[in-house]
Amino acid sequence: MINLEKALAGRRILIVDDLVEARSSLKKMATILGAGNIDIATDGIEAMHLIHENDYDIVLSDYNLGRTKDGQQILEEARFTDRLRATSLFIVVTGENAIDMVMGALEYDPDGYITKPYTLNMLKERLIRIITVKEELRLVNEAIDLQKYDLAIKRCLEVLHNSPRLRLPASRILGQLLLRQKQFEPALKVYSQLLDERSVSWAKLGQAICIFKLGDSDSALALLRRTLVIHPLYVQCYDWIAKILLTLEKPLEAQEALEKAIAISPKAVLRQMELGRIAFENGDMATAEPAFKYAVRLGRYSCHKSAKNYLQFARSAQVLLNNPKERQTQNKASEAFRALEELKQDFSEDHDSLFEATIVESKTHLNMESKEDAKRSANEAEELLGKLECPKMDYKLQMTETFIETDQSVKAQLMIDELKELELSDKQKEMLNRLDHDLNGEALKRHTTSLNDEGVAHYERGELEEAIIAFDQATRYEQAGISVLLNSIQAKISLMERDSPDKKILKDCRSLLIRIGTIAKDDDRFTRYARLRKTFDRLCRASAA
Amino acid sequence: MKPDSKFEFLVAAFVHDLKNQLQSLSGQQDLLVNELPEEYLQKLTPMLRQTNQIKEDTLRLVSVFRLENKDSFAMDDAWPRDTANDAIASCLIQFPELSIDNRINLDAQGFYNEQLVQLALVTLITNSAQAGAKHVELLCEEGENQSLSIIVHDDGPGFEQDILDGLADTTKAEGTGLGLSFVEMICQAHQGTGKQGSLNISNSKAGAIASLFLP
Repeated sequence: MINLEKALAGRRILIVDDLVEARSSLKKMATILGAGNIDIATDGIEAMHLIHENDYDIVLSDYNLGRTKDGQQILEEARFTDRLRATSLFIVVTGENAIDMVMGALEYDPDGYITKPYTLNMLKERLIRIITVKEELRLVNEAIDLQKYDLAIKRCLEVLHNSPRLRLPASRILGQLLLRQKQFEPALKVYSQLLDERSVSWAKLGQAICIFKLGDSDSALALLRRTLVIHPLYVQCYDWIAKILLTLEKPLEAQEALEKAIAISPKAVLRQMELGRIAFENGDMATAEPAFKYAVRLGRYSCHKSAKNYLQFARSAQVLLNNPKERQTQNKASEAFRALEELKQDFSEDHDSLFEATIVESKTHLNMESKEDAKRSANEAEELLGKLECPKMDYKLQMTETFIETDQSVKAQLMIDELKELELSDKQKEMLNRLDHDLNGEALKRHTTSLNDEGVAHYERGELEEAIIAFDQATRYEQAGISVLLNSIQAKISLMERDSPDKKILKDCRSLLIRIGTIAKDDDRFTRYARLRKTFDRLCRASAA
Repeated sequence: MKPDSKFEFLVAAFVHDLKNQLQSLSGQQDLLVNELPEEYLQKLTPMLRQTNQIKEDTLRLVSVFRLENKDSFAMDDAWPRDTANDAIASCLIQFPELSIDNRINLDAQGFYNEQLVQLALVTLITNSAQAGAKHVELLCEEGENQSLSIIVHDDGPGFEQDILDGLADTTKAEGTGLGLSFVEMICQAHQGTGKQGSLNISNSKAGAIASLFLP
């Protein structure tokens, strides 16, 4: 058994509690027990800040820390970012009600926990036991810190052989190591042998994971569901149920499982992200939107902060903008814009995300019926796309779609023409065809009409060169109608009559006449066609002379 | 998980707050005990006793509620000597005249819910004190697969025959009379290697013996 005073004396300790009395009392107790170098954090964010700044030997954290991260999340982040060595201690202080959640953690499990209410003497006894066990496992943890996992496994097996009393903590580490090394058969054996004698929740989860990894999804699901009957708060079981259901192509059921986990433990960023992702895929934006909103909020001060969360939040929110005149819709749009703005500031070096954010921004403006703003964002996105060294095909497709939505058909057509030359996946081809269809449909018709109107206006003002440019643009599209083609011919002929016949212009006129083909005599446009054809023939002769 | 009714939600929130407040109160009292000169400590005693009583009652209340609900309790490696020490510390606040001897081996180790077993021991020691015992001994026998029998042996008048025969839970005129049933519920909440925990009571030549079997 260790001497607590000596064990604490040289250690750097962090105490985390949101309640002022609790943290000052724990600090005083720890001081009485021999600790000298103690830092204090009042919430998860401050705790993570300190953990990133300093190397702690012991962290004593309350589980419930108010609105921000809980103790378990501090542990996960500290270990995930390698800011807390395997040889360091993480002890969770908690009421009995959260023990299931604390003890169930399979991957990032605390070294021990202290249940409230405790006395000075209880704290002392508990610390002695926890530190003693940790010391006995020191060689294993040192190998883990050196990332020598096979050596750690070997040492774990030695501990299990020599010290049966350490069976629980040693089996726990051994199971984790074997899972990490993808040795599922031996891991299953470790968990199953332990469960023959002891009903420990984390071993049931470990067993289920091994069974799933070894290919028996149904048995794994059944085991997880049975575990939940006994430990209804065991959220990690829901996480794994969702993972397994996804592999069985049951995304709706997977979403349902994750929603249950979120109802129990809403503060986990990764869980909210996963729920958002699955709900988004399921087209359930009413679930995806709050999940991504939480992920953004919770991730803001964590190692899981990601531009993708911001984008997905805005994407799911903009789908819900049904009625721009309603206050609720306006608030949602404002939230989406704020998230995109935050993304642009915090990820200013991530040009891919900046482009995607600007595209989402354009769509959001469009849903709020602000066409001008949508167009401005689209043009901003175009600039950003131009700066990307090797833009993804998906980005080009997104850009094309946004051009179409903001009535920029010429740009869209150019993009489509470019994409048609490139190698695309089946899904991308499908999208390209859809966009092509959209563009050649209503959008293009609108565009050619507007170009034609422009040409007519120029023509009426005698600005023949400008009229020809507008009509040329309009006639570039296959869908340009006979009247537009005739207008184009008329402008070109008028120019030649004003100046002189030109072979190139005559050639263009011939092409247009070929495109028109024959017009029936009873067609309203026949007279005009015949007149233009006659003038064209005359100009051809004049040119040849 | 969010409780179903507003009432349950309120109770859950209240109990959570209560535990935090008790923790804070108990922490401050511990510090005072360490800091105050000897002559002032006596004045603190009634306060310590009452806080301790509220703490024990709260934990008992929550535990009975959860035991009756058949909720699961987290089991883990635990050391009966520590658990007994915590129970003794609590009982000595209530019964300072009682002599309690913890004769449990420092290395004895079990697999149980520490808070529940501590409550069970507090209940048994309290019963002994209230029955008139002057001295209580705590012992532990280790069995196979970390199973344990924690024994509370006192020098009191022993259990009445009706209680030994299972005809009555208590002979006390006051109190809930749930003491032994509560301890039994706690033992039964422990299971392992196909066995269920149990409470055995008997009388020795000199007093009562209660034995908690934790598989």
